[in-house]
Amino acid sequence: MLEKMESNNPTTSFEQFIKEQSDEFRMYPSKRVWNSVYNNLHPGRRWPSISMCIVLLTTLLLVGYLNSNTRSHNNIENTAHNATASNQTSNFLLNPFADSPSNITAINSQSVNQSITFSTFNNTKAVEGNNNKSVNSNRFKKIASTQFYKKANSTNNINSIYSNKGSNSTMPPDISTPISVSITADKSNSKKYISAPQPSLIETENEPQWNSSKVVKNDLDAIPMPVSPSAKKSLTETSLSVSVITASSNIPQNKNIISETDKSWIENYALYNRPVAKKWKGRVDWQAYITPSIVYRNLHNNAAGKYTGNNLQVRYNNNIDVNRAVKQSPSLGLETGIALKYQLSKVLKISGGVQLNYTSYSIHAFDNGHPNTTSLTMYNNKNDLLYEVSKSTPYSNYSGLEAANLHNRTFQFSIPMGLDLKLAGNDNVEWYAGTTIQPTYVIAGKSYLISSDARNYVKDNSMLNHFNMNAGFETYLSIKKSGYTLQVGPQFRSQLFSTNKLYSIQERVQTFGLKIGISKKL
Amino acid sequence: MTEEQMLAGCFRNDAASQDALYGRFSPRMLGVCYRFAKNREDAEDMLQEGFIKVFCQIHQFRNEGALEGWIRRIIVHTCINILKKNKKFSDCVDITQASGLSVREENIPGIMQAKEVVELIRMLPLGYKTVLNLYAIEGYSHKEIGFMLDIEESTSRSQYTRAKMMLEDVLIKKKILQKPKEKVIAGRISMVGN
Repeated sequence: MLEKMESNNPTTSFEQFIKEQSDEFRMYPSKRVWNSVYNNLHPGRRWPSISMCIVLLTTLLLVGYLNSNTRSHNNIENTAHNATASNQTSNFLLNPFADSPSNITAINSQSVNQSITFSTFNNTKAVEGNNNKSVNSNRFKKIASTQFYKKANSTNNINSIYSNKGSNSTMPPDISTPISVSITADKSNSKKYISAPQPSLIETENEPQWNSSKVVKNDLDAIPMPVSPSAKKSLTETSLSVSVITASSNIPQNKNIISETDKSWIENYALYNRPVAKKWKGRVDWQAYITPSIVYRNLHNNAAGKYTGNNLQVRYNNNIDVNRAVKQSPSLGLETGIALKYQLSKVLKISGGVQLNYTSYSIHAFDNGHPNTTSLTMYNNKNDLLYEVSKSTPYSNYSGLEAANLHNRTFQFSIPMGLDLKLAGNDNVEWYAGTTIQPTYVIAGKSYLISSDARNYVKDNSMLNHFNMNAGFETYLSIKKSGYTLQVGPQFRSQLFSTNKLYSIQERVQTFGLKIGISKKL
Repeated sequence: MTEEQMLAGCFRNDAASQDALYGRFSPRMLGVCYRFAKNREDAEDMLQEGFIKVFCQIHQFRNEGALEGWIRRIIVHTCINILKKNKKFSDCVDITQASGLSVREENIPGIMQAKEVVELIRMLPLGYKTVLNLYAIEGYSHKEIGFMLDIEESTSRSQYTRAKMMLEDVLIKKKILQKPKEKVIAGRISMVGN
């Protein structure tokens, strides 16, 4: 080891050493990468891929069907059960590298003389799904390991061993020396590791040799094996001894050419050292935004053309074009909120958040200084019932002592949920179109309602419909800058139900705004 | 298939030639991506995007330099672009201070030194790792790195110095490198002389 270290020490500079070492490093990409590249380059040739997928699926189904053979399943289950239920001391039989260095060959010989010996499996590349040469052995391995693990947990015994990257990293395929490894549990450590043995490579002048005496050292205890709480208890009281029976393969001849062992180590190391992927990582943006807007309303008389009995006045009133009868003008509103946006695909995002809205529009009226009696028309569309409610108000629509500017305003809390569709763009600038649906609660507000004869305004906040629904439509440019994304674009928001309940004049607030938002990836 | 044949095939958008070129260069290029990436999955994504660019821009390759060098430049730039899309990257790359790198002996199996060195580089903080990769391994100047990463040249220098110290320290701890005793002695002598 020292010789190797010294021979590789940099003689020129740190940079040169790092560069040399890094340039020697190679990894083998999975097939997925080439398939994606190929499909990108030859979009018209995807049919072979689809055909291959169908073939693969069929194969999987076939394998699944074969695996459902109950006889072999039961045999293994029974054997495993007997083996694991015996006691807390277990012997493990490993034949890790018959053909390649990560095979688990035999597990668990028990003190009750019930032993299980699994036949040698072929290449463990099958773990990655790259090499499924032996369906039977893989099937056998899968069933056996599954059953063992289940039974080990259920009977408070750890009778299974997990062999992965550690065991195949440098294990020369031709070691035939029995190796003894002791696995003990550390009470002080909450994580329990069971590791496979690993020999170390000693380079001599001529060719590398494998030092079996160093195999006892466990280099890869960072590979955790999940242990159930009940099993942990058992494990802390138990020392498990492991015997390795045989291993065989060839000593690598040329260290400059990457060998199958190294390749498999790289693949396995990378495979088992993947951090727990957060599926949402990099896909979720939070957004804060503000939308100054112009607020207006759309009035519609629900009772138009309807009348109660022979009351001609009501009939007349209900035929008034309410939009012509009132003098109202837009006013400023504001929406502000925060949202989370999740990128479903390259072009589609879904969003959800909370939003506060302030809406207001102006009514040009007159204040008489004294209340007048008037009435409001109510319309219950469930039973088509039209009726009048008497009110008194100082505000007139036509004339009065002085002009009064009334404001129909609401403070709302809403939960917008929406979809954003990317229409175009490059790395820095993107163009989106989006829509939201916004369940809304009206927290407070003022409501001036036009009277039945359209001559007066009546203030009646109790008529406010507290629960409502809004729909929003927007298009915006998304500009990325210094880790943040700025969104700017017009927005149209429309209230779907009337502001006032039962009141015959349906008022729907509409806002036209400029949404300015800033977002950042979580 | 020779390099010329591969190139000619790639110019014609021939799938077999593309496959051959990919097969020849992808292991080394994935190693490059792996040094920049957080994990293998990310590295493969970088490789995929990089090779798509390579094949799309292959007609721009002039036989003035090595094909591998040309591909490598595209791959490195792709890696940097992908990293820059990550919002945390811009934060990390501007940080000139980072806590020490603690590496347990058991973290890396002592199998192959190259792998070990690469894994140790990958354990560096993101900003350090990127600058070290670009400067020490890919051979970019601090000025170029500053331009690529949108940072000051001086930031790149300080990042590299700290990355180097940190990595050297770990390599010495893991007995891959030896302490440069001669240099220390020489330095002391020169100080005494002054």
